[in-house]
Amino acid sequence: MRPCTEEWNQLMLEMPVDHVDATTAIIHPSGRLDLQTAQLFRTKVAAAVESSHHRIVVDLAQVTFMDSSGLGALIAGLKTARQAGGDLRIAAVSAQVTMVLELTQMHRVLRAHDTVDDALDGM
Amino acid sequence: MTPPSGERWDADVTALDRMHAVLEQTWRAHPQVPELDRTALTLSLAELVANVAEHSGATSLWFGVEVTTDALIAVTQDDGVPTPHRFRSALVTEDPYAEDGRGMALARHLAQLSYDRVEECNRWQVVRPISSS
Repeated sequence: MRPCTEEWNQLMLEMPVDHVDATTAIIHPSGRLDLQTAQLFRTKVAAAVESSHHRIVVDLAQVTFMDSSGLGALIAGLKTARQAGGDLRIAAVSAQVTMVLELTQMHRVLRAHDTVDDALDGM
Repeated sequence: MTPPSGERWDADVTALDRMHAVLEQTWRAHPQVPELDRTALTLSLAELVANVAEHSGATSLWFGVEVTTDALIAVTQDDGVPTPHRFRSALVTEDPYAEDGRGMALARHLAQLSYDRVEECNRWQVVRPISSS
């Protein structure tokens, strides 16, 4: 799907990003974070970092399902944010997301915070 | 060729929507299946189907799932390239910042997978025993 088509623009609206301040953003994926939505997520992170919002919290409260592609996208986001001098934290994970993180031992790299506020704390 | 059993879908990302919908229907029809087993089977199958959509070059994917008293049994078949027997996939990757290479290991951890090449098709059987209460 090419950027700037109507479909693309519609998709971009489906993963809102809040700018908390000049350097901090909260990304809100919803539904499934998998092969279908991973690219959109990566695009959102890139756009945030591009606009100097390199401190990123990913609010996973509305994510009902994540697979290894979704996990890969989170990891890619973490690397992008850190390369820009920032960080990426995740918040409000479901039992299913926790399962994926723990099976892959990524819960040590992507430490889950209970709430977005907890994640923002000390960023 | 004997047509594979199950529903036929396009072997692209839309197959994921269809797979999740069929599984949701299945859980509604079988409310006794424990949450853990639903989650495990769903994730295992999602990894397999994503793999087919992304890497196999397949046009078609056939999908079927059934619930028995002891197990959840799914079969997927696709007309893509032969799936390599040795997967470089691990639950815990050497480089923790690796963005891929975990999917098949996850699938195999969560269910019993068996693979066959049948009449130019890849056929996967995925079995998740139902946890006893």
